[in-house]
Amino acid sequence: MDTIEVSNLNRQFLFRQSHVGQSKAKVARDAVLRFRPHINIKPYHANVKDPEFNVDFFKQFNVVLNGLDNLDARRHVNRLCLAADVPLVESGTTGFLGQVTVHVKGKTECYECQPKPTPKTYPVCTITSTPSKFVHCIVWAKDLLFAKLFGDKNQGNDLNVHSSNAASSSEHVDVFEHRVDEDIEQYGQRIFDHVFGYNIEVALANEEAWKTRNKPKPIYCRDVLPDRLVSQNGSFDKFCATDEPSSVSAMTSLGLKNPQDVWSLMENTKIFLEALKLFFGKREKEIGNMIFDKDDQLAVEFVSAAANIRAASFGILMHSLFEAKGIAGNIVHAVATTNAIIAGLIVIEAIKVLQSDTKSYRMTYCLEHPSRKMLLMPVEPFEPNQSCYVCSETPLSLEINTYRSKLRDFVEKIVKAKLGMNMPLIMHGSALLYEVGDDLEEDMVANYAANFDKVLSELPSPVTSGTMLTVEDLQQELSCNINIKHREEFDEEKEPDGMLLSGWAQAPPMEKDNNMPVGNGESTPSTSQAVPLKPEEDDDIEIVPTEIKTIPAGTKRKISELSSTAISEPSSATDGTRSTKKEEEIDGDDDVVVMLDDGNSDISKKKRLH
Amino acid sequence: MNGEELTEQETALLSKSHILVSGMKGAVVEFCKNIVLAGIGSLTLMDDRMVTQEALSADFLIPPDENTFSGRSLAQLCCDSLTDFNPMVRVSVEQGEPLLLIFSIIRLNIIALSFDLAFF
Repeated sequence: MDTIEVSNLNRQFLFRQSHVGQSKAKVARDAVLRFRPHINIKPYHANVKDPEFNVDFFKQFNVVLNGLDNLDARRHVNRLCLAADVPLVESGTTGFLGQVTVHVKGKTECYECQPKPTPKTYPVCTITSTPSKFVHCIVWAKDLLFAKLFGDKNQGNDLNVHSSNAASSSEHVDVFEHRVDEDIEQYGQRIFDHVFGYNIEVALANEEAWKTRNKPKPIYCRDVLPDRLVSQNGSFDKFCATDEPSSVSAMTSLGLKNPQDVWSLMENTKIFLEALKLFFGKREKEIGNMIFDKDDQLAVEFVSAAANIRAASFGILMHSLFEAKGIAGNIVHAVATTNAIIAGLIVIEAIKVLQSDTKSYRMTYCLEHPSRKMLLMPVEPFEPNQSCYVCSETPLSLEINTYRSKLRDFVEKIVKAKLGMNMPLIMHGSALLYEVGDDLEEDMVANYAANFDKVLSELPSPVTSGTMLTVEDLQQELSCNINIKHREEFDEEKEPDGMLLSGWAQAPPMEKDNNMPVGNGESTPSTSQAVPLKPEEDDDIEIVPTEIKTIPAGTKRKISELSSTAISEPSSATDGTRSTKKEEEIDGDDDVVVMLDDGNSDISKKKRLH
Repeated sequence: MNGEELTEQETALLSKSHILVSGMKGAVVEFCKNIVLAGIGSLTLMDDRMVTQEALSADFLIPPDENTFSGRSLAQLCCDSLTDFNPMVRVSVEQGEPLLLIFSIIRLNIIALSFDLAFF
């Protein structure tokens, strides 16, 4: 469902400048037909999670090749392939790393048998009170300050540091609200002083926190820009009335041209105030429902400036806009050659699948640095994990406070986020507690809405310790049993959600530079307690010509269609050789030698498939 | 440069570079595609060989239509395709067989003088 962007053109060679804005699926199909005119390609410009792509749809195919950019969609496709009993060739790349894996129901692991790294989350108090790294400042600027000023007002926000003064916490006045007729410049300075000055002073009052840490310094506008006047009406005249909202930029109006410069505290402050002014002056309509978008220049400028000022306050090194954007947008720059290698490997595995050459299936990992002169590491696929709840139907256990947690929390944090179900159905025995669907009757919908906000123990069919809930997703054909166990207390830092799911193998949080198979860009809906980074790959994984694209749930891009290709039997004589081609695309150069049956020592613990 | 976006200086350096490529085989073709898309200054291709069945399957720069490719050398065909990828790169063809490494050291010196990089 993606469209072609200018930044794609430097390596997605099926696309030209004239194609920018068009559907990737459709243009890719046309481009491929130009050099292979006799194949059957059907593009779908849509979201792979649409109900249209059900089990029957997947059953049409002999093999499915994934080129997705988020974990959610991958899990969804995995489940559908299991339900349809169609082999799946999964893949991913991140920078110089990449891998290709084959999944066949009953014979190999499914995509979810091995835990996938989840995005790194930071404890709330590190973000709100005790940052020690620049990334903490970015998360603060993006998920707290930006969200508070420009996002949904109804969303809970941890921005105000907890003060010991009980009276102030019951204020009715929202400090961050822009008062009617308040001059924007004054508003900007007021916000600045509040978050970088006042809030820091409040935090400093809590002596305990700073015994082992460096104390932050409060920063006030008047200290950084002593000559700045409140009324700066003149600056608006610089813009012509026909300025496009999307091209508005604080950098431009301040004459700061190089995004790779590290700005001074003064420059960052100016950018902060200017960006705020531009948002209110030129993009007022969007305020109140904006979500941070790394491609929104003004948003990136604001967040970078805010993060830098906070960093300066806490004695953390400041970064350039370019670096800040990379961190805020979780950008990992794509390397064209890695994509090319992985693409080639996908085709190789696909050919093996089409020939039912099961003994030759390999999981191939592309390393960053050659190990023993080899860049690629193929291993045989493993047998299915007996305790994988997706392909082996093992029940899970959930520890939760049944007197405090609501059904809503259970659905959002466990069923949708952790279990990856799209349209869940929740049953307690024969009682339907909750359901998502298009064709529900009105009274059912009302019933579910009421249940949603009830505490678990107070549901019509009460959920307490010892209860077993059945959670299903009909589209994914996945059914899961969860044993509920009541627990009173949860550690705010380690279990911020107030729930603990077990029997579901979860990997430790992913560090930016670890060696686990990567390229599984994830997205999780942000919870109000932990503040997760939402990784998105800057540059979409290019797998040509068999490309199935989707977007993570909850992002702001338009819902459009997806592309899938069905390679039917070559119909013409000239292409008769294609299906039996065994040559590797990587030419017979000496450099890349693929040695089989040579696995990693940790992987060898698992049983090999023979 | 460590896999990050190119800085302005690096892009400028790239756009002033000239590369000689001899022997349009699989990995070399992939390299040409990448370097042209990245925005090299100019690329000179050297491969007088004609299209073979093997080349057709491995080289995505060759149009499959016989009428289009007959009579033209590999270098000429690849040149056309590469120009299409990035019109801002000057791709040209130099007459000559693909150079074999040992035999061509003397010739290499003469030709390579006018290029920043030679790739075989």
